[in-house]
Amino acid sequence: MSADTADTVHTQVEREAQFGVLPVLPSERVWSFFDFTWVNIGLAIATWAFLIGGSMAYFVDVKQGIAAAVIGNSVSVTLMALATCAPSGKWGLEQYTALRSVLGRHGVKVIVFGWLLAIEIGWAAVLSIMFGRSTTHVVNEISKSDFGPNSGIVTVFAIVAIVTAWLVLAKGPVSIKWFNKIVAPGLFVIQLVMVVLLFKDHSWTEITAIKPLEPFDNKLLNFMIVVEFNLAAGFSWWPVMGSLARVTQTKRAAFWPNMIGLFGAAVIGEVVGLIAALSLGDSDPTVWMIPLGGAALGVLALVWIAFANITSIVSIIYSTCLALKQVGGNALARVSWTWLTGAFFVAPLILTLRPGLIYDNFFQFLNWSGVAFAPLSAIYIADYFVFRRQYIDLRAIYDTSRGSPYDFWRGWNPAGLIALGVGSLTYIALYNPVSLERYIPGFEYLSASMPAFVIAGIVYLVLTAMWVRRSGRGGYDLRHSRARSG
Amino acid sequence: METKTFKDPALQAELERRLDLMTSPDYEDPARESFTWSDLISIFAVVAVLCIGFFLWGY
Repeated sequence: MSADTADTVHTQVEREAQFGVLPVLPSERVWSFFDFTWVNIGLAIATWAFLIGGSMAYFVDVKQGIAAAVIGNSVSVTLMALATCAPSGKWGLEQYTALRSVLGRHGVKVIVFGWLLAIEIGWAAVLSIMFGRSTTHVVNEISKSDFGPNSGIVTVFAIVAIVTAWLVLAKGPVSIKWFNKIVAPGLFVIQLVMVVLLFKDHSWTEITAIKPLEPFDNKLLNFMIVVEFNLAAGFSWWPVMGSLARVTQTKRAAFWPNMIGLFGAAVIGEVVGLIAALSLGDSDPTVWMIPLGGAALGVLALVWIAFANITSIVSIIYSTCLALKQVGGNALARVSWTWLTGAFFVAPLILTLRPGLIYDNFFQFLNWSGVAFAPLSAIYIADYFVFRRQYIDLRAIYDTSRGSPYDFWRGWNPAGLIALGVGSLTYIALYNPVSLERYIPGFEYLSASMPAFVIAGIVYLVLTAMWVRRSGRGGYDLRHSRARSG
Repeated sequence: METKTFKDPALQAELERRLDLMTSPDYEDPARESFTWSDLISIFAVVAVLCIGFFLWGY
């Protein structure tokens, strides 16, 4: 890329990063209920639905899996959407700008540069490894070779995915329109074909009689592990949905499409993956396609899945790096887009050197979404709906000077960070997402995300009512003072 | 009241223009409607029905 082109890209991205922070006007709200539904469905119908469904097969059969997927996703998508889409949709605010009213402008940076960055690095690694394994299966089929799932060739192909995604990202602003118009319909067709093939030789009764792959002895524990996994799946949308919802046209358009897409379409995709994994005896979606569809169809499906993974990587990393630029202020404004996106991929590239490390432990990785995003959702809902009565002062939210209404304590709201910490610790105490140990009882009946949500919410409510509001900080009286001043 | 946010004068001017529009008494935006109690009750009722129904069917 020439220096002039790099400068042009940098300018384009800077412009998008900066204008992406501005509040949107009614004429810029381009998504109706139908439009945002289509966006949500496109996001949901992605290869991660197969991964999630495949992982569920370790613990539950088909009926239990459907129930757990519905329960987990319906609850978490609802809470996630109320937390992020409601405020951003109503006020037309980019998500991390609106979040200043909850955590303070520096508290937001902790979330973006800490949790968000770590989770999205993980996703980039998982999806690139999935590309690597898909492509390796194609190579094995065509050349009659026998490269294993953790062989060096998987790493090579995973690195190819990363480099390809980086080259696409380096070109500048990315629109998800082409993703929705091409990739999602293709994956939907694959799901349809899979359903036809799975039920071609087996009845519903036979499918529902298949036992899970490696369950624990405790039926309730197995069920709750999968409920928790789906809670995490729904909460994992937390980083991106608010900023998408800011251009919706009504409150219903901001909320309900999440239920149709991120809940409904995602559950369907997961269930297809679950049935495939149980029928074929393997949780890895890249293993299913050739045994299921034969050589030609299977290779075609694998190629499409590989392509879909690159588009997913591009989509996720674009929004993540944009958020880093928007929150990073002047420090990151000087960093070129090419270098920023390139630096992002270093960690995922390292993870591809041992493909099985994160890919074969996918459900542990996804559980980390619940650790932070469940408490964050609680804190945001408590602040926005309870204390602020759904009012955010637009002038104040853009006022980053010391002593401004949403400044809290020099850009930090300790109540939010304490509540987040307590909520996250609650989760880990109930259910360690890495070791699956349960240090205190209750997980089988309560899950881990929901107690983390409730406790974080209670801690935030108490600290804000007893401390922050009484200190006069946080702009909680702005609605009344603005009303009085007319 | 000017809101100091951006160092770029053009961007700051655009922000001020939008804030002046959006904080004016006659500003109208259909998206500015708040969620009502009936909205929230409807949402949680749907979720409750789904959870209870599928648990009884699938577990």
